[in-house]
Amino acid sequence: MATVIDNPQPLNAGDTPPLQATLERLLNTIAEGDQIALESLFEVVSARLFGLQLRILKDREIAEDALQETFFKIWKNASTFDAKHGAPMTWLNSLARNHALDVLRRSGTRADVSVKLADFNPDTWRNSERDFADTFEDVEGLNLCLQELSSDTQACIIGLYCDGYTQQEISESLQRPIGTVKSWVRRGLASLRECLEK
Amino acid sequence: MSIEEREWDLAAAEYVLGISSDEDRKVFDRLYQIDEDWITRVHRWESRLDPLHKSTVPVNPPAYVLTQVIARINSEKTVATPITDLLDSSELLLTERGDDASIINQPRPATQVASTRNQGSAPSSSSVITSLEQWRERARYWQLATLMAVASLVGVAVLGPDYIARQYAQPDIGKTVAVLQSEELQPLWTVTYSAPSDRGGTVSTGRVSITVVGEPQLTAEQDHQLWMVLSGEAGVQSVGLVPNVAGESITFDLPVGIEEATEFAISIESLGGVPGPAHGPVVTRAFIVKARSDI
Repeated sequence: MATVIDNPQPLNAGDTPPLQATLERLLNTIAEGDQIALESLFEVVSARLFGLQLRILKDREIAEDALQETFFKIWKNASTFDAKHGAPMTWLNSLARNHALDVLRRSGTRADVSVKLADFNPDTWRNSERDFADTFEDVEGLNLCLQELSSDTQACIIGLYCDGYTQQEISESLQRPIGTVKSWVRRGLASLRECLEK
Repeated sequence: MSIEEREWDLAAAEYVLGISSDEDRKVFDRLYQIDEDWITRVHRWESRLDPLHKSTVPVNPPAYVLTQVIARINSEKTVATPITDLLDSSELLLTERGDDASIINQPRPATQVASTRNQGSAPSSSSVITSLEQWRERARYWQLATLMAVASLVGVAVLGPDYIARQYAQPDIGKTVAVLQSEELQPLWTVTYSAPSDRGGTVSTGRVSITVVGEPQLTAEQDHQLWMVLSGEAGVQSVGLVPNVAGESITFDLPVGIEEATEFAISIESLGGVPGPAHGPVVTRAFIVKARSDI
């Protein structure tokens, strides 16, 4: 039986708990084999996932293939989503990101190899963050903790996570030894954990 | 948090960031399939870092992406043959949901396993749990050793830490069926084990039948080869080349008794296969569970 979510809104309409509930319901319905629910989910999250994959893969055609594969995986694996392990958008983001990273690993190269590390600027982030936040507190918490890191460490973590750069690429971009980059990342992660657990 | 706990947690963070070494990542991928503690750590870091995605600008994909997804789903529906149709239902008892949950307790099961006993009763979950716990311990040992850059772990995993799809088979039973899956969780082959007693004891080692139920990926210059991973440090034993075309089957008399092996594995080899023990990358594995004879 098809279940249609009434007027699914793209995520930038405000990702509030009701949307989380919507995503959960969509995933549950997809798990039952409902294609209409998959189409609804596509309408709601595809721009988000495509943006994420395009940022990593830096090639529109490859990103389109990756998105197709990701939605096929969502179709096949929706039943494995478990809300107790995290928010549905986190699950979807992880699926999309991991697939994009797999594509990069398999190809062994990136279409655009120029590394451009993003500046961390929570003031400019804030508006867009609000749009997509599962909970505002999560974003604020991470922002505050990122601000405690050095700018190089911030750039490394964001470059690794959001752009899918390798540590080697970042090392070359920053013209710092790979060991230094690894050390920044490791210390940064440890600091983030400590800060977020406060 | 102890030093060891911190190391595990940082390893999970690096895994989520995507910066684990290839070798570590394969082990962590495997742990992610079976280890609740590892799964929890990974999800915690995914949740911690997920807000970073808020800095990414959404981009509308072309509509044909969805069209292609739907077409692919419909296409699979048309050609897919239920695995159960390929098996003699009198010979197996599909794993019940209750067993599934208690056995693996994982959010993303990579494998469905079906097994039965001659008597027709489901395997005791306690025996299976024991075996999986043993595997978990082994995987933990493996992971820890990897983290500490210990190189000599030959006895832990003869075939190397490639991707696995976990299966289990019980050597004490007449028929056991496992479904071997790809990394993308697509069923590729079913494995049916027949104990020697099923065939009047003519072959003392038992027999396995392999049926292609998916689309194993190979180039024209490659073959898939089935191996038995022997207990301890005894290495591997080639069983033979397996077919790759959906619907095809092959049956082998096992080269050694199943009780001497811990796993079945399928690797990619150059055309014609290799005699072993050296082998190519492993694409999927089936763990053999040592069922207690009194169950």
